[in-house]
Amino acid sequence: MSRPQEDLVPRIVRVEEVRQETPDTRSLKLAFDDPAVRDNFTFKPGQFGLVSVFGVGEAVFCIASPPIWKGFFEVSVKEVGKLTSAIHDLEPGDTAGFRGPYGNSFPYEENFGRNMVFVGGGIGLAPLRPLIWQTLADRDKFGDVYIVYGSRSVNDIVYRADLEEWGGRDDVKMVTTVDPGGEDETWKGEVGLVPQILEKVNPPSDSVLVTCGPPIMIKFVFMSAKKLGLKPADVVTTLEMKMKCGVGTCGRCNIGSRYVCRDGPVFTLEQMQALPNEF
Amino acid sequence: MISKERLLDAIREAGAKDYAVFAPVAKDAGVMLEEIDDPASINFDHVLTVNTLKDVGLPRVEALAEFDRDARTMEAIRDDDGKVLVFGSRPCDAAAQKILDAILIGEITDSRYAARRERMVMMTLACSTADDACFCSSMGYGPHDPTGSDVLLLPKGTEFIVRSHTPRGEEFLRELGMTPDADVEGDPPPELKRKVETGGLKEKLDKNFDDPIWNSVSENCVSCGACFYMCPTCHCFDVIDESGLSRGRRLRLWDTCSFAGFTKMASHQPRVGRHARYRQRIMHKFKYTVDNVNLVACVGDGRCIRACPYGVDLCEVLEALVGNE
Repeated sequence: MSRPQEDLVPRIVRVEEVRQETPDTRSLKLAFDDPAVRDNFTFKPGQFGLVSVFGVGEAVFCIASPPIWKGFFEVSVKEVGKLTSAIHDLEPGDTAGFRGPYGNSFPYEENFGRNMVFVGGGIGLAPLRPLIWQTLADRDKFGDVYIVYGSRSVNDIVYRADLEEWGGRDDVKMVTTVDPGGEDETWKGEVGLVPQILEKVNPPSDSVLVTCGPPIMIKFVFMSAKKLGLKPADVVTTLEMKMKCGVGTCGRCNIGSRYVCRDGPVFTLEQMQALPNEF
Repeated sequence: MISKERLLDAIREAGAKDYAVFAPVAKDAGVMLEEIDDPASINFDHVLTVNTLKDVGLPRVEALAEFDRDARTMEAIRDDDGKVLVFGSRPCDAAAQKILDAILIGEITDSRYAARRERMVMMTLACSTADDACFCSSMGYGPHDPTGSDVLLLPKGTEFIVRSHTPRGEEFLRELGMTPDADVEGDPPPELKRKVETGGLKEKLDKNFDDPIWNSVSENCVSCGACFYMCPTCHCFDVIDESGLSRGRRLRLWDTCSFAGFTKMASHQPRVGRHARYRQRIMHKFKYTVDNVNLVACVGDGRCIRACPYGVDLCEVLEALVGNE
């Protein structure tokens, strides 16, 4: 890396491809302009970075592609405000900025041999996606693999191609669901909230569960995990907070004494039980 | 011992040796710490400067980079080179610098702040007076405390005793041909009227996150942010772009947990309510920073007390927290 990340200045990336995930969510395939940076860019599933649109600003997004895909990386962006709509205005060939990777990552090698349960809600599948692909690349190193994915409605399902591929594998037990009322006549998955569906799937109590979604979903998934008998140390999530620096100095993303950018974004339920309820 | 005249000559010489000199000068708004040209303008008899050393090490507005969308460039801007002499700030402000150092220079380093600190010499003027808001001694410092100072000048009559407290201070004195004084006692430090007992505070804060006391202690806070702006240890910042331009600068600005927008995301606000924001301010100073770098992020300079338009008094709040069962 040619420049210390702490100077808060992004590197130039080029938009290679834009994929419309849902009516309000797009995935962007980004590549660093500088070939040396592009070739040396490494990260771990769970890490994040800040995407800049010059003249608008920057914000935090998880890296949504696995590190085993080389030469580019992806971010998925839901249009919710000024910066995210500026990101949505980007077209292939356009310039943006990126700095990262920042933060810790999902536990990985220590889970070899374990059953894995991935529980995603809405765009919250984005940070799990690199971990799922990585896990499937090392499929023989893990026990059973479960994926529970839910969205508000059929129209809000992201990463359809990925879900189709995962669901088609006979070494993955995948269940998709939509919130009640979100189904249409073509829907063949479950109807119900993610935590309920997770309990119905009933993965073994010695599993490792990794979840991300809206904060309220995460809180209910924690309760379901408890009901299923999972150990708090084996329940893992990744949190989102407003961040400006990404490295622990801007003072914005703390929950209690822990900074989500520096000490997280990945936390176990066990770690979170020691934190105040302010997320 | 050194007379005021000789001291001013030494500062003049530092200026000639390419030090940018920051010192207290009287302005309409009060005595401000500013970059000066003529040491004759230095004010010696204030209690505290209105502003803090953040203006030197962590400026309120700082350009991080310049972008050009069409040319596809984002070039870092650095203006942290050059030697700086900070003359005449008070011991509490010097101590605050030590706290910022612990937070911003470490495992993860704010490279701009660190570069400025690297080139900064702190020649502190020990206090001869204190006002009703000063409570540095309750925070473990004092009107003559050397924490954070490279050189400490202790008043003795109309002259000053020179004490060096760091290798950098020694080197600076040598550079200016000054010698530190040993075995001379200065005038006694001023008595502080205000005292606050904070024994047991940390243990309380470890447990009282959900206590209703946060509602009562924050009752008069209007989230104006004056306390943070004046605080020598508040260091949170925002990063924004000069907007709507294809060419412009990315800026870093001071920001505060007092403002509701501080943690507000498009779809989620984790910190709801004024009491929660006030709690964050107190927790950050008296618990979180202790947990992370083993220092309380308060030096008892009292600026937040002087600045608050609604009379929120930090010492009273701390006492209420300590006394709360």
